[in-house]
Amino acid sequence: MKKIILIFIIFLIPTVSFANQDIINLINSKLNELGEFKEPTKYPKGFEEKHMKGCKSWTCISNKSANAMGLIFKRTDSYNQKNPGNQIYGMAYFEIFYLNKLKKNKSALEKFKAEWPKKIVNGKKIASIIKTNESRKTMRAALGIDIKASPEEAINIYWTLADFLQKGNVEKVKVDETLKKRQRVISNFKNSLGQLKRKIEKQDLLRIIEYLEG
Amino acid sequence: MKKFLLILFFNLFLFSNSIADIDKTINEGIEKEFEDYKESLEKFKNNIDKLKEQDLNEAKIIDQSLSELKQLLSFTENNLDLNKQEELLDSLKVIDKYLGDISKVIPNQFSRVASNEDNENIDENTLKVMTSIGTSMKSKRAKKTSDILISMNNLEENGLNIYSVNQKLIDLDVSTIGLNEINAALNSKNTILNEGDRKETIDNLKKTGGTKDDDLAKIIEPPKIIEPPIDPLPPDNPLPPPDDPIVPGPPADLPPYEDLDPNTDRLKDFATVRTLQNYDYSWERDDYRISVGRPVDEALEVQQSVYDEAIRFGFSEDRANMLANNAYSAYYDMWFHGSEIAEQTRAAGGSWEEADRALERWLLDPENRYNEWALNFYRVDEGDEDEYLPNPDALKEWFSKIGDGPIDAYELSEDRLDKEAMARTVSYLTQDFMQGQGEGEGDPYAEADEVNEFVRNLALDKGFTDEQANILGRNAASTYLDIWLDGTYVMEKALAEGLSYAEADQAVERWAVSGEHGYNDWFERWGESDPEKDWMPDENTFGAYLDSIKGTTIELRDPSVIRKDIEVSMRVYENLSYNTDTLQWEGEVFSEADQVSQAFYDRAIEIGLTEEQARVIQINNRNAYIDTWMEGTYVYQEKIYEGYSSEEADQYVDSWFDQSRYNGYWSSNENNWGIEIEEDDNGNIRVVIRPLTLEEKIQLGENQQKLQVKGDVNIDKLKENVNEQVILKDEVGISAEALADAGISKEDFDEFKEAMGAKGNTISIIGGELKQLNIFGEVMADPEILSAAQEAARDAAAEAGQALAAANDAEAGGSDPGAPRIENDPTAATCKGCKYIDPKGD
Repeated sequence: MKKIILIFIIFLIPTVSFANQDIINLINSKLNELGEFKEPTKYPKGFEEKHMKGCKSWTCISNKSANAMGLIFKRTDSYNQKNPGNQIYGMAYFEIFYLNKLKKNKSALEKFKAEWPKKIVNGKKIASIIKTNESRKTMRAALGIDIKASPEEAINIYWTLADFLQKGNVEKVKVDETLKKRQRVISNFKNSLGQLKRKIEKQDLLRIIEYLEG
Repeated sequence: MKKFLLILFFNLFLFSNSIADIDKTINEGIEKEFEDYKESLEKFKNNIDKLKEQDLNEAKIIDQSLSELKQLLSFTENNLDLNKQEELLDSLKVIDKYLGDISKVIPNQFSRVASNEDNENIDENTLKVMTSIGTSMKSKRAKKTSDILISMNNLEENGLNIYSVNQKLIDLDVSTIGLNEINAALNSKNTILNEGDRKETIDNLKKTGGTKDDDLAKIIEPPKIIEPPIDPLPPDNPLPPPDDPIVPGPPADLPPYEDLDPNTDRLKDFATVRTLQNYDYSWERDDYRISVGRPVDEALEVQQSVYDEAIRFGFSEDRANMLANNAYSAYYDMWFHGSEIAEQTRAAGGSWEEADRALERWLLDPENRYNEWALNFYRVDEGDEDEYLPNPDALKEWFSKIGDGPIDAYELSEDRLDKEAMARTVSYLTQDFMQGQGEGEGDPYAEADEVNEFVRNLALDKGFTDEQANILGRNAASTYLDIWLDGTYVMEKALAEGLSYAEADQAVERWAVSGEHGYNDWFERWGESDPEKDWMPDENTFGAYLDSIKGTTIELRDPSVIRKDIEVSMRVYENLSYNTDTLQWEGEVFSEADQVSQAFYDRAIEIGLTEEQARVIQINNRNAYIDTWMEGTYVYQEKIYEGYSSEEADQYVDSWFDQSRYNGYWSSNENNWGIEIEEDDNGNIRVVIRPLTLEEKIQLGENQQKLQVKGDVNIDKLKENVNEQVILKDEVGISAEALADAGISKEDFDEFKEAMGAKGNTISIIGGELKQLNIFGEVMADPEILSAAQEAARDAAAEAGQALAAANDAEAGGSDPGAPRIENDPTAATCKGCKYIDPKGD
């Protein structure tokens, strides 16, 4: 028995520690990307006009932003085509949403960092922040905004671009029904394909989430 | 010990079990996705098969494109295996890309059209954002394409002819991975392809056979862009240090480059001199001073040709001769004045092509006297440009118009005769005279000296003071030269008209007795000429004149205006020459003008003007320098001619400059463009280019922009070499230095510029401190900018959607909403345009 255990230990220990270290390293890199909550000192003019009349506190601003964002991301493709700036405004709100998440989870994050990697504390909350940050990163990357850029900068870029895209008048283009049908066929399959693709590509992230959530 | 080992074993086992569990969970999730995908793929295939054939072109493109993907789709199906994830992922990436590209064949149902006003009233912040998005979009695309190419290469290795599929999609007009994209991916700074990937991509491209060798060569060996050095300076003109205390600070408001009309007299003089250089007037034949040269040869051939055709047409010999002689003279004049037009363009800095166009415009101008002759000789748009012999059909038309009517003698161009006569006279004056070179062909200056000496001695003999005698001698010599010049001019003009020497002499005699010249008194004083030395005055008659002026004030006589002008001009032109090999004017002034105007050109490029704009400024500046030099040198030489010292002449030049239009031009442009032209004690110029602060660059760039807005610009005028030269309305670029200051790499900027659309689109840094980027109003009006931004936004939105979906996927079942799910959205039920959300999550 002794011998077997020893052999087991000799072979298992390095394997386990390497696998463990990979995930720890991954999580460390993700933690470094999270940033810290710092309330923005300025907002785009359009944002101020829309959301900050009689609403100056962070709680009010972040709540209004969350509501606006929720609405935006539920819009149909048709609506988004009519309003090309819609989703971009949504991304600006997402920055605020994320900041608020950081604020709300500040204490949880501190506790996690204090124990990490010996112990996982508040794993679910941390996993959630990392996921949200991954979405934020993807949005920023789509428009070439550096992840290190301040939220003010990012919000300004999103808002400015959205304003620009919203300029002018909507013109309806008549699209033949046969083309619409093809569009639906392609879109449905593309969504399904995208889901599989993401699943394969994001295995590391999934692993982190699973690991943190236990 | 045993207990410890057991604990360790237990812990390790659990730990490893936990990792294994995670992987198991993930793999289960993936396998579930495999199933879903398989189902979805089946549906997709069925749907494709069910699509009815359509007449609509877009539908056909989509259907054919989708059918091209069948092999690829099957490949995914066959690789739905946890151990084949890499192959699967490659195929999914490529299909995803192709489906997206195929979808773009279908137009969006809605589009936003921004008005010109909207596009032009875009603030700086928006411009900055648009520019930065465009820049990053370009490099992002290159990376994305690189990633897809790697997947395509892997698929090729797995036996799929994916490059052929790609080519077929391109052939079907699907905007997918074309050569431009591949080129950008292969040769971009941001590429993620290593040398092996690059080679593989090129090999695979070659295999398809759909790529032209030339295009492939461009991808394999892209043209190398040689970056010009910033602020190139002549080695002997080092920049002053930026903190040089003597360098003035930037002006508060920097005006744009102030252009200056070139001196048209100078341009015409240069043109006439150049034209006259085509002739040699020193030949004699049968008692005629004939002109020799290419234009004369051509005129003679035209004459013969017209004669032959006239005879063929049925004209008598006399009438044919009249027509031929007229043709000779007309061609001669036409060539002369046409050459002047072309040379004026060249003198102002225009190219030969521009000179040719100016000549063509002149010839086709119905107001031009030679337009009629050009039409007599040639057919418009027929024949070789360089063909000078008349077109027989054109001649027939001309002859038909004449018919039996009278044929008037061609009236020679008085302007040409004047110029030719003057050229012949000057040609005579500037020859290297040899002693005893021929009767009546002596050196008039030597003769004048002789006259001077003779009269001076005679005056001394008559009791005049030395000073008086000197003046009297000089006056006589000067008058002799005036008479000689005017008389010679009359003679040379007669010779230029084609008259014989005898006839020319008669013309001079007629001129002499006419009394219109104002020399009658002097002729009397000269008296009977010495047959051996006909230029010398008679001692008795001139002595009598001297006696008559005794006791009066003896004043120095001014030379004739024409002679003075010729002699001063000869000194000004002394060091200028035309190099017939390089076809360029040469001389110190031209090399200095090149040096100065190059500095302005460089600065124009530095502040962001286009090469063409910079060239316009360079030409204008070069002309201004040459004009300044020519006019200033004329003033100097005139004063020297009038007997002033060089110091006094310099003072006159300074005074002239202060009053001249050049003063304002140079002080304004030198100051505002940060260029100083200094002259050392030896008269050598030194061009000092003061480094511009970024603010100045920005300000200058903006001012050029204002010029565009005003629209007070016109390149054609310059090209035509008429009086006005103004700044071209075109694009404005940006210097590498300014970009670097703003923290943008030149390559990124260039890529963006290229990405942003058509040639002529530009970007500039403007306003504020040093980071503002600007796209000009005209460019903003370009829909490509808008569509590029929209495309970026669509990509971003799609990726944001994917990000949210991914977050939601990962979030499923979690208590903390990681992704932005709004469970309690009060407006959800009535949300117009909101997605229908299936409660089951499908």
